[in-house]
Amino acid sequence: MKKLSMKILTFLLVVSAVSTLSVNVLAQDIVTPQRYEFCTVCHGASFQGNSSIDAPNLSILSSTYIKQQLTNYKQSIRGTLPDDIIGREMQPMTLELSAEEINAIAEFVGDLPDKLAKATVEGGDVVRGRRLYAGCSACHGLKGEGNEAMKAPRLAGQNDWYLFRQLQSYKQRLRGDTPGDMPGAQMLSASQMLADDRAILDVVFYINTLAN
Amino acid sequence: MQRRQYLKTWLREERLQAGIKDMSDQLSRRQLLELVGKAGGSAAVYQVALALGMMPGRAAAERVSVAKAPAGAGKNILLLGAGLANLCIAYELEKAGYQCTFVESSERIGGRSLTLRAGDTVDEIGQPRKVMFDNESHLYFNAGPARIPAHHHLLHGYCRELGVELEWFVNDNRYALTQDDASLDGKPVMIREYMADARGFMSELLAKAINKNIFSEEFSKEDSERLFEFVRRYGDLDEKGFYKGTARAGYASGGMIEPGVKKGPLDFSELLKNNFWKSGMHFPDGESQSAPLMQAVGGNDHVFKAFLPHLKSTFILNAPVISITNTPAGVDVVYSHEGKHKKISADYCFNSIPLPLMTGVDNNFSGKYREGIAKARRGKLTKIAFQTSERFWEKEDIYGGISWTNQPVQQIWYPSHGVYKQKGVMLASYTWSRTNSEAFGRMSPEQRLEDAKQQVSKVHADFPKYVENGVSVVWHRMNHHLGCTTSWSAEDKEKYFKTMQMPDGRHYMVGDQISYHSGWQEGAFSSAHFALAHFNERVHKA
Ligand SMILES: Cc1cc2nc3c(=O)[nH]c(=O)nc-3n(C[C@H](O)[C@H](O)[C@H](O)COP(=O)(O)OP(=O)(O)OC[C@H]3O[C@@H](n4cnc5c(N)ncnc54)[C@H](O)[C@@H]3O)c2cc1C
Repeated sequence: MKKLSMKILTFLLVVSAVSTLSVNVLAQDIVTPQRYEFCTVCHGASFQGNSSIDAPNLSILSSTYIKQQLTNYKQSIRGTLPDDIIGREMQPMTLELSAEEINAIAEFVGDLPDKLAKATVEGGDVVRGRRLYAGCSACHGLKGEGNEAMKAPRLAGQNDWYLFRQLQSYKQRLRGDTPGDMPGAQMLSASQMLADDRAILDVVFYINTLAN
Repeated sequence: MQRRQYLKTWLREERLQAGIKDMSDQLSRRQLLELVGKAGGSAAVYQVALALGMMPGRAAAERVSVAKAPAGAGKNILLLGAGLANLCIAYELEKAGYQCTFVESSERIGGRSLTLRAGDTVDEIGQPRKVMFDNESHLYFNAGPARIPAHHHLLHGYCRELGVELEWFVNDNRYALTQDDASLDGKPVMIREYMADARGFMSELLAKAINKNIFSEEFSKEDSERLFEFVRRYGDLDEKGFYKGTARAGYASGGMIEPGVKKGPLDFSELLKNNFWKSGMHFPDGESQSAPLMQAVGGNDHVFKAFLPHLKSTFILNAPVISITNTPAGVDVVYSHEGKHKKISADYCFNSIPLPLMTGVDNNFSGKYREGIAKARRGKLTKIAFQTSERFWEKEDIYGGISWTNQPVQQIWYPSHGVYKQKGVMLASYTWSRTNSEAFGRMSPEQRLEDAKQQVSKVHADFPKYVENGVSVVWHRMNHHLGCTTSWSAEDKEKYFKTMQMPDGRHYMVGDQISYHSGWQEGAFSSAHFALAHFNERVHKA
């Protein structure tokens, strides 16, 4: 689980001068180790997600979940089905990561300050969404906070467009349909309770209300 | 009969349109613009006004000479991304007395201006690879910009001023090949043969129509005769208007000490099955593709390198930007460097970070500006190059230029430089197809080389035996870029382009992405000068 406290940036004294521009080093700030900076190219400078690249918010996720997913990608359990275009963009990133590197990335990302995504979907029915979410809360928690024991990731604060696409992917068997992905298989069956895109929209719309 | 009627109507419509054009002389310019506006909206009005010379010359940005920086404060400029656009901006601003600092996320200067040589790294995200070419000056390839068209004036201006030596770049080679599995049992054909036969057949059809007096109402007798002669020469037809092959296709044999023997024309239906006519055949007619083109001697990265000795700017490399904040008096930028987050403040900021990556950088820009950033989409292109033990293409009379195939590799490029040397670096693939590029992107770098090798052997059967080593550059997987060109849908471009061209506070978005020539260095320079013109005016007025 993550520390919810937002870090406050404090400024140290000027430590170096570049031409005549002053450079301030910011203290008490979690800095991405240089060898994992490439993750931020897609997932955003603060791991907050990037809709232009279809890369989700990682800052809110736990190290256990990150580790599991990176391992799934590396073992071709996730991101290999022909129509999973976006998953297949992520998959090659993991092929050359060692188990230690996966651990280190998971530890680091798990400790990041949470950056809560802004809502982008419109027009959902929050009442119907809440009703539908009752089926999700057993694993993902009443407040969408996630549940380690159930291997269920946090949903509150995740990018709504990502949640939307993942629910579609599960329904279309683009995710969760590979041997070795038990939690994915569970999620695949759970997603069938959402009849159509309208139902997905409503539930995602409701999840957006959980972030605060 | 029906066809005859169709041809007549078509010609009449063409004439009518010509008539309208004549009429426009009688309309006032303003009336004309109103008409255009009704038909085509504001973008069309803008274009027509430009054409009529009613708007300042914005079709191509003019080179701006920045006025001397004001005395005292206000001289600090931050440049995000060290590609051609910002190098050009720094060059112009420094001349005027400004102080520039670059913040660049990668370990190198140049951005997409990338030439690969022995020992270089292809910084593919998550899968970096070394370039294994031999260390010889002609064994390189331009992974990014390759061609310099004649009418890219800003680019030529800088090459001239900074002493970048240019040489010819062969874009259109009639001795190169076209191959399609669906045509002629997949056998490659020399482009000159394909083109000669295609023109011959088309001309013969037209000659038949002229002989049957199909155009008698449209053309006078003299015009008809002239048209017949035009067509005869266009297709190299005989006296009667029949196509029986031509030396333009190259001889089958002879031609020096024995009489030349013409090749028999290919079966036209086979030519039509080869998709060459869909793109490759007309490619060298493209707006920025017409011969002659040029390249920098020794690699096109010499263009960006030529700026460097003239710059006093500080370059902070390995420093990804994390956030950008417009403040009342300037711009604050936070970046990550040497394990720390650092903040730097400047009076103005020019930012060339690819828009799709900017979506992941925190900022306090206004609503529409942010929307415009988020709507931009990245292009996906791939280049795959091999070093070969021999320049086998020269044995096939090919010196430079492009062969076209329906294999996913799409284009095969032979180097324009290094003629007669033992080895060469050739492009086994330059594909613009999103699908092909995504497919290559999903393969391991080694698998891409293997696939490309097999595909090229459909065009050059012995290709695999010449291959020594290779390298792939899948631009949408390149670190710090994740794309090769940035563009909006036509609708989004109409909606956001003007907003993105203007600064948000003291922050300017620049680069070829902020031009109508995305994917060209001239687009980067044009955007740079557009921003400089705006900057110049605002500083002066202030
Ligand atoms: C495959 C290909 C073929 C091309 N062919 C031609 C051609 O034939 N002729 C031609 O004229 N042009 C061609 N071009 C286009 C030409 O390369 C570009 O127009 C030009 O290099 C763009 O310069 P730029 O400064 O706008 O952008 P770039 O060079 O892309 O500069 C952007 C910079 O921003 C940096 N950056 C990214 N993220 C961050 C961050 N978070 N913080 C700090 N910095 C960051 C990048 O590392 C990069 O250095 C081609 C390009 C490609 C990719």
